Amino acid sequence: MMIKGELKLDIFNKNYIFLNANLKNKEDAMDFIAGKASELGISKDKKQTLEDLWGREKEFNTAIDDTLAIPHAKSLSINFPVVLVVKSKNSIDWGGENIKLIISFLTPKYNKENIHLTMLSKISRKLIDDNFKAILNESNDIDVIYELINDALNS
Amino acid sequence: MGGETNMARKLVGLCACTMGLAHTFMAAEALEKAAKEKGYDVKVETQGSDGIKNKLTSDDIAQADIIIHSVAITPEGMDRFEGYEIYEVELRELIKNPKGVLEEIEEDLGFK
Repeated sequence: MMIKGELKLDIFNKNYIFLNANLKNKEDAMDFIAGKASELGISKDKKQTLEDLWGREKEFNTAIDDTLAIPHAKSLSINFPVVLVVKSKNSIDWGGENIKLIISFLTPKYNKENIHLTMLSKISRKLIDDNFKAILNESNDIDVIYELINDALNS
Repeated sequence: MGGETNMARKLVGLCACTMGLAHTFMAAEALEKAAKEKGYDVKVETQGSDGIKNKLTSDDIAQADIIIHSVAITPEGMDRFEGYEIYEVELRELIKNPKGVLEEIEEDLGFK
C-alpha cells in the first residue's frame, strides 16, 4: 500500500541532494546542476538548461546572502519541476558573495500543475528563515536535509 | 498623539519577480515577518507563477498606512494604486534587510 512517489515525478527526493560537491566557481556549479538534471532525466537538453540558468543569473544574480544562492530556470528543456540541493565542499564566489549552499529550482517553461509552483513558493518562503538556513548550512546528513526540505514543500 | 503604536497601523505590499518562482515569495515572507514583528496589520499580495495570491482589495490599499511595491516586472492591477504614495523597494533589499527597509520608511513618514 505504500506507494511513496516512485510512480509519480518527484519534485524532490534524496537523489536530488548533492553533498561535498567539488566546485571551483559559479560556472562549475551551474554546469553541475545542468549535468545532474540531465543525468536524472529532469532535463532533456543539458545545454538549453544551462543557457536558461545563465539567462536568469545575468538578469539578477541569485545569491541571497553570504551563504545561499538560488539559481533557477523555467525552461523548455525541463520535463518536470524539481528542487535540487547542492552543497559545495569549498566556498565559491557567486557574484560577490561566498556561498556553499545552492538550492536550485528547475521548472518546465509551461507548467500544467499549479500545485508544484505552490510547493516552490513554500520553500522560497522558508529560505528567509535563519534557523532553516543554518541547519541546511551546517548539516551534512542527507536525511536531515531531505526531511527539512520535504516538510517545507509540503507545509 | 504620542501614545499611538503600530498596533493600529496597516501595511500592504505587492511582490513580483520576473519568474515568479523564488524572490517573490522570499520578499513577501520577509516583509510579512518584519511587519508583524513591528506590530503592523500586514497583507502582502504575490504575483508569482502560481498566479495572484492574497490579492489586495481597494479597501486594503485605501486603509494602508504604508504601501510597498517590491517588483521586477509590471504587475497586474496597478490601477488599484493610483493616487497613493508607494514605496518601491528592490526585491533583494527587502529579502536581505526587511527591518531596515521598514525603519527607513517609518522615519520618512515620521512614525516613531
